[in-house]
Amino acid sequence: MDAPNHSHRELLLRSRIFAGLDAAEAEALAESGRVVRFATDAPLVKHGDPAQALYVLLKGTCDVFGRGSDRTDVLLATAKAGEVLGEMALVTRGARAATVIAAEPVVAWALPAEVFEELVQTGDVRGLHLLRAIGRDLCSRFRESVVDSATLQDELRRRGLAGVSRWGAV
Amino acid sequence: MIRASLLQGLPALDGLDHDHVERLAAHMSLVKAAEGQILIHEGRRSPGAFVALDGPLLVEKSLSSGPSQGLLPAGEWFGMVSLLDGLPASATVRARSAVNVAAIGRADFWALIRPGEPFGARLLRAVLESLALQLQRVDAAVVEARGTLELV
Repeated sequence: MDAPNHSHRELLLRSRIFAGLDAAEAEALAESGRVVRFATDAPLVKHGDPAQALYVLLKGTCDVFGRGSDRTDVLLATAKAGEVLGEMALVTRGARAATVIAAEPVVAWALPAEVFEELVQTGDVRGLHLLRAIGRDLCSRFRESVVDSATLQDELRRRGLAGVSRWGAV
Repeated sequence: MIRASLLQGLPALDGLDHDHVERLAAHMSLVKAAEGQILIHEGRRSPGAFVALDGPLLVEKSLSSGPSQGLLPAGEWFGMVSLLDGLPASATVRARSAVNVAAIGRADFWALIRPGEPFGARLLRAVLESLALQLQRVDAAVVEARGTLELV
């Protein structure tokens, strides 16, 4: 694990999670994390594990898998540079709900869970910024997932395979 | 304001201590919704964030194939997606029967979220926690549905 260098900082500043921070706040937040590397097929996040960190992908892509009730993993999405991964379990303080695998060599910025907690619990401006950025990200994903889920549930109902679904936020 | 006892112990407020719940209650109002009353309109910006004190509530989503329905359990936040991203609500929320709902207006909510103020950060985190859990549920439904459709 390394401190982010100039090139990493430039990549971080282009990510959505750093958007809107002034230079000093962005620098302070970047320094709160570390740069980590993953080989192809290495897991960044494993379903059921406790949350250790959130990641911002700096280079490479990752496949995100959800787990069905039959314990098989289903590909949900492919994450690209600039995207945030692993933030959900940090927010919920729960176990990882997905598995994320490096689809190629990956460089990521990792913010440890304990640093995230401290920034949030103290109301630090970086913590508030992270929460707002994570919120925007979750909203975007939620809107897409609701459409996917509703479309699939309708297809299941059309085939006589499902009842009323349980949704969530609007 | 509403009585804090109405909010204590709700899943929506996990992570807020007793004092924080009391402080939030001072900024919320009680909405008594009649059966069939629309609380959030799809396509319109949500006026704030809400916690269903009774439920479940009916969620209706317009799709090109027609309307789709789901249920939202009591004790969770709703309206927060539109509150957080400022976009129109992604679905309509309707009272399935007469229900009580705790509400906080958009401006009142954001006025509580201030740097250096732990209460605001913890409130925002509680809302995100509810959103993340609901997203996990929706994602799980997507995985299940895709699996079922692949089997038939």
